[in-house]
Amino acid sequence: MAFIAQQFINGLMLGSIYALMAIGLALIFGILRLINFAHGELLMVGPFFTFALVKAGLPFGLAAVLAVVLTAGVGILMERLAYRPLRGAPDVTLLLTSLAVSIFLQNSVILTYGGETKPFKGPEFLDQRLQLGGGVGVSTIDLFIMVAALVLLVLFTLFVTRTMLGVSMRATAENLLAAQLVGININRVITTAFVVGAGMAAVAGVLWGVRIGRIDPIMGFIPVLKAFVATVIGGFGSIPGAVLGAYVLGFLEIFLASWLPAGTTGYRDAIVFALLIVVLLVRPQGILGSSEREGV
Amino acid sequence: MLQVQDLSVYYGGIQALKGISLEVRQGELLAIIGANGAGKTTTLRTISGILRPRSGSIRFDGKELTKLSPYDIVGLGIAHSPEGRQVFSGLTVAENLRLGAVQRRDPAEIDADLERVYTLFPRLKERSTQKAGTLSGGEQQMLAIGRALMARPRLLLLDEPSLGLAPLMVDRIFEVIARLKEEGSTILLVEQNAHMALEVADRAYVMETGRIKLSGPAAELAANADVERAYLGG
Amino acid sequence: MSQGRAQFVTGLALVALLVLLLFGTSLLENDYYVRIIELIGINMILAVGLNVSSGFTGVFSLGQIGFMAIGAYTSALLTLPPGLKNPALLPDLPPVIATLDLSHLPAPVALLIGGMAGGLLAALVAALVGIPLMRLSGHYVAVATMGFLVIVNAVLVNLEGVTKGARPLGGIPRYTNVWLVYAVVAIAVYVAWRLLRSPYGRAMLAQRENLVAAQGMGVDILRTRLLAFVIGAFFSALAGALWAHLLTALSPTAFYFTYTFQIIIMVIVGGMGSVTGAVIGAFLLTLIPELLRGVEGGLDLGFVQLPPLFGLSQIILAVAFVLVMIFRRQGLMGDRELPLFVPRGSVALARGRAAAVSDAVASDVSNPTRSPTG
Repeated sequence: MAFIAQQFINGLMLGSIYALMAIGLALIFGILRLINFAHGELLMVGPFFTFALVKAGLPFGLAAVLAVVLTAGVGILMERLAYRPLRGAPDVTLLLTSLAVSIFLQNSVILTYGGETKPFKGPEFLDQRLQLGGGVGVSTIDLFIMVAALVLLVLFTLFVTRTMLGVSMRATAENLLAAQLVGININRVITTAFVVGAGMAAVAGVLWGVRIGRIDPIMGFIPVLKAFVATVIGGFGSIPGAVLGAYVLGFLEIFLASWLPAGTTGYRDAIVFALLIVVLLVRPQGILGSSEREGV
Repeated sequence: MLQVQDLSVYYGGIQALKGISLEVRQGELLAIIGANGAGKTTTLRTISGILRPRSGSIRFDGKELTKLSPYDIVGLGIAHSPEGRQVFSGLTVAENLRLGAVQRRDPAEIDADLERVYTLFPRLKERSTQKAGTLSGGEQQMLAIGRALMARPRLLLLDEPSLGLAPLMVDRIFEVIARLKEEGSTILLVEQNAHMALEVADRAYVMETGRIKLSGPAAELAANADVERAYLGG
Repeated sequence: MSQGRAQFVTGLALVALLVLLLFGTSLLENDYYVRIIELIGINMILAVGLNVSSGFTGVFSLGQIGFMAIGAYTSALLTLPPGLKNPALLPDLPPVIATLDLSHLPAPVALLIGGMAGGLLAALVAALVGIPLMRLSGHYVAVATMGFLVIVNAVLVNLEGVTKGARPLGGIPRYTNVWLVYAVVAIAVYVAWRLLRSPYGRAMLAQRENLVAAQGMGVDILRTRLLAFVIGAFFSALAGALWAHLLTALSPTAFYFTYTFQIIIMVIVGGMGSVTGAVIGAFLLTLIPELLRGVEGGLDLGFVQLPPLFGLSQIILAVAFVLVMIFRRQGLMGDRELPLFVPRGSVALARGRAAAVSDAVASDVSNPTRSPTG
């Protein structure tokens, strides 16, 4: 029983990380039809900025907050320089371009810091372990991740339902033509989507880095693929779907990790992607997505 | 108010508009009728800035529109209720309507306009918290028109409001359009249903394969033998 | 002289030129240069393979390097001397392979066996994988094939008893030489070119231009795409075998997204539908990064010292890619071949007909289709 509870917590934690990533992906996909593989690098750049700022003497908390802001800036630059000139290009062109941006960012970090893994340590209070009773414990960093994700998800929901800019974002993702006709400032909506997505990815990256105690330039690569699987499972382009898919995936991975015989845990990732392919073939719209996306 | 001159628009390699010219005068209801594919929707979309013309000009109160973005054009006071409604299905009726006023900065007036739209379309008020995608075709059409009205536009573009609607609904919609005209709105109406369009319009143009074939007062065109044969089933 | 005759003569001349160049290469003393030339050839095969599997049909597969890996590992395992693949080292290797000893065969024959085995296995896998995947379109198929690559990688890493997992599988016989490589390049180019001129090729291009129109004309979309996919996989596997016998050691990390992207950028720069473009792209984008890599380790120009700049070549490639996408998406050649080799009439005819039908269907301009299939 305690084992299951422990796994549940792990699944929740992993799902939270994926959710923070998946929201950004789904947001940008919904509006631009772009699968932004460079999103993984936004996850990576966050902790690296933190690392650099801590080295420069800032306390961790401040460094992390600044890093999130800086990552949002990277997101804006990404959009301005690589994606805006390609608005309206075929889907595959955009996808390939996002791969190029990903490679660019990865290697920029390699250029600056070298390719090796670096130790990454967060503040002391995140390094504790709390006992919840019944033999179940949770580390404070895991708790922090889950709470942070929850808080950000709530804030995000408020943003897209209560503010005009947020509602405009949902509208633009639904129907670009109508959004233009109604007079929504599409550029501003897109920039906002990147800021929000990048910010959340940075938070995920910093927290994840603290959790595993290390960072490296390619740390974002597999997480973004997983986050992408999450959006497909949950429903392509649907934000609640992306969040749902993220938690489903988180639990699934933990379940697979504990259930697969030892020695085959490396297949965990392969199984996740096999699942992706199955979903794409059997129910491409995912759990919550609708199959019809036209506005007519 | 609106002057279109020698407008040429291309879809890829095909010329959809072949140098058309038209004008909309303040306070009038101008109709453009014609068969499917004549270029009517293309005309409206070019006015709204969705499509860029290859040549020609569109002047709104003297201001040239052809280089402006849809965002700017809405800002100048042109609102567009598109062909096929194009409502935001996942958003509620109220959210859809409020988005019509997205560029406005006068909350009190926006609320007042919202009430006005609800008065015009009581059905929308009933369904104000429902998702727009669950509405019937006729209700979605009302929503699209209401949304455009929320911009308090100087010029209202209506694209095929009768498309796909039952005759009773069509009558209802056109009642509203007539009422808007009476209240002084300037409307550019594009319609396949020539009969209803000519009944409510002041003047009209007939478009055929990207060109303006005829123009004149609505009553005249309604009585025109060719028009009757081609578009009025006569 | 008829066009067919002119093409034949020019083709012959090109082959003669190639033979001359290869002869010159074999005289080269510097092993490093020879390796570069061989690598260029291997990348040409991959680029042409990608062109066939993705460029002709417009269905973008990102899993090609997975097939290269299949070819590489198959050929390696078959041709390794038994001493290097005995049950102590590779416990899960089937005995029939573990005891197979091809070392007494001349190099080209052994490579042929290894390569063909790898190629056929890859083609089989491609056929199986392609049947479900070729129904998808656009970014859906791109992502699904990415998933395929991840799966292949995971299998290679985890099947330690067969592939040695993440550790290098070394001791592969050095069979590759410039003649073998460029023989395969010539074959690949020829096959691709013939394919373009065949009814299959026309069908592929037609369904790339306009899917609905092509269906209307009676093209079997699935079969066409599958054929392109399988042929591309076959050649990628051949390239993999050549690669294995060039580098003499394999590890799964080589067959992942970095290499995938490199091949893609070669094809994009050269032009997605052009065989000539693929060849040119492979040449430029193997050579230039190699030169840049020399700079990466630091450069002493005498008057100035450039510090080590690892990753620079990748950055430049990525930037070049984005610039090409923005400013010249069709790459160097677009869809064109060397003037004499354009399939006369056929491509234009297919395109013209597809365009005419699509006009009649007159799709909506503002919102592209978003459904995963079609």
